[in-house]
Amino acid sequence: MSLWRVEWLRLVRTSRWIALVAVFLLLGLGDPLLTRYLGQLLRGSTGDTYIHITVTSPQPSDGLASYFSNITTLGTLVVVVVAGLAFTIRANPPLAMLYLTHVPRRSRLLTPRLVTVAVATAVVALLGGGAAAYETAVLIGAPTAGRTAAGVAISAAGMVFAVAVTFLAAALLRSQVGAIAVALGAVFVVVPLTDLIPGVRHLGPNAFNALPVSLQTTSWSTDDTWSTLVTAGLAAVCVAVGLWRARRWEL
Amino acid sequence: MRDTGVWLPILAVLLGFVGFCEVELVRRPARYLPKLVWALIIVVQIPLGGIAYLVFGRDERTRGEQVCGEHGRDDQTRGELTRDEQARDDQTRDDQARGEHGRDMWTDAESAPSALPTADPGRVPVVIRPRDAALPTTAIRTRALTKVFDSGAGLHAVDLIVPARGVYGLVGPNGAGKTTLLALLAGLRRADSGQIESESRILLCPDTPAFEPWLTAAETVAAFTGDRPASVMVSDALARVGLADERHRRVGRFSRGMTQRLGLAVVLASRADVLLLDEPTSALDPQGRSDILDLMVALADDRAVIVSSHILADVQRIADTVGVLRDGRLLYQGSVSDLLDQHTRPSWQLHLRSGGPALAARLAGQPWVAGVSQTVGGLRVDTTSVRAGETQLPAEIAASGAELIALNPVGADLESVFLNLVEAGS
Repeated sequence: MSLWRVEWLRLVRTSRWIALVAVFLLLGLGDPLLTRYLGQLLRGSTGDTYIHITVTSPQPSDGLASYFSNITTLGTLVVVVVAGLAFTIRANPPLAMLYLTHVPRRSRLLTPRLVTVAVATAVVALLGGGAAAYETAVLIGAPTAGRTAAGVAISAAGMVFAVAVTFLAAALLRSQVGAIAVALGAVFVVVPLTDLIPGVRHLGPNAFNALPVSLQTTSWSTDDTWSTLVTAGLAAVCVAVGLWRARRWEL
Repeated sequence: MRDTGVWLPILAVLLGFVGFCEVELVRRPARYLPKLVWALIIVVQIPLGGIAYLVFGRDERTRGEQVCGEHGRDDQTRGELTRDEQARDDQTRDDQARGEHGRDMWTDAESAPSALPTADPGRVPVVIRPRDAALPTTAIRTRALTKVFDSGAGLHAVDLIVPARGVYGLVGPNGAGKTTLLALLAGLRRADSGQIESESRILLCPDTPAFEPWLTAAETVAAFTGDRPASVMVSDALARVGLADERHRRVGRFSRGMTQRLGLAVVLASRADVLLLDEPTSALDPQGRSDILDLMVALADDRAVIVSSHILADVQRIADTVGVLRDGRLLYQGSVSDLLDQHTRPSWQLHLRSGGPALAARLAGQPWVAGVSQTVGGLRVDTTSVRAGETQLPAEIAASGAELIALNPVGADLESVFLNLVEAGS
């Protein structure tokens, strides 16, 4: 049995796939619904008092933007946890001994894990995006196909970036908690902080993560191309450094 | 709001997810929190509660399935092994005493007992299948291998030569560097200096191996065998370690002893040229240990098997070559028989009815006596030569007036040699 099948079984038998699917699907189905009835919910909560709330009627882009905005945080959180559990091989030294002496090169052990988690993440991100588009079309109106497709694809790519960051964290740290914490810190703290650096505000992963939302109302710009390239490059660097670090692992 | 196209997918996903989580919660033990708490979390915090449960709280085992003992006695047996070992060692000494210091058991295949009855773990440890220790090729050779930790412990200039076939027993007290050496050989640690020369494929099996709990035993063996393992190979490996009936059972439900057997099945099915086994029988009952020792000898027919063990009787029984480590230094390396020949001191066990102290005082002044120690019911006397013990000891006993019940030569065993070596090294 190949290590690719082992990774597939890891995803299926540990029920982690259900956690992934549940988050993306529920947010995909729920966020457009919330957007559609947000005005009524707010009015209902305030009652007929002196507070008067005016909510503009939602547009299809609002439904998708709501989904992309939420999935960037909640989806990333779940993806990092699932990926961290899969990548921290050294957290279980006796098992790591067998794995690491079984394969001639450590990349042969890590590549199936990385690819399986990345593909699973991308697939559920596409699934969630599809669910959001469906619900938006039913409730609010048909969204623009091109913008929707671009948003869903970029959202999936953003999740893969989080996987790559987690891969690097797991290559650097032994413990599952430590690797997951560092990866979350990198994605939710370090990446947004790069906005503070003059000149790179619109060129980094943070701008890339905001693209699915902004693309629903604006057009693609040169900065967007740069942020995409920079994010892809950083993801590649994370994977390359992670593999290099794994070659130097000691138990 | 009444559009079923809107609500139906959401309700289906929500109910399906919550239902799945609750069913899993009922079927399996929960981790970290009581089941009731998990159940509330799943329902109250949809979907995060369910996700948290699936990721953190879900156990691999299903309800009602205990971690089974190996033949129902694994855990109990583990605690009794020490006593069993002591009894076995005592029996060993007595049995070996019947021969001339046990050396006649280490000559060649014809004169040595062919095999130890595996059902009787209390018998004399003997080499089951003596081999020529001077094999033409080596599987691993190290030159001045050094690895020093911050505490100063580690390995110091170890020159190891492991034959391409046969069992190499690696013995030493705790902290001697056995595990470090195995990790270096397996490529799991980097040496500070020195060289490791090997073109063999090496597989390390730790003393308590761990596996993915969601794989079955057969899948586990297959995963470590290769991309396309023959199912017969997997079945054979499991059968040889006594896990044929457990092949479709998930590993997360295995006891420690069964897991250790599974580790050996993995080793068995692997195509590695060198097997590094760290305390491979530490969790097995006496019968299982005897079976696995035989298995290791069989494995060594066409590959090198390096066994690190504290159970010296086991090492003596199966090893062709032995390496003695102490404080990170290789004190001895060579065939077991040479080790026993070179480092055995003639010794005699005297069972006395009376007169022990007087005899001990008398013997202590004799130049041919290397040492005298009190034992239960008598004395143990080390002599400078076998002849001195045979000719002069009876005369001294008679002269002292001690009442002798029995006088037996104490056989040579790896444990006493090991203790002598380690004490001399310190």
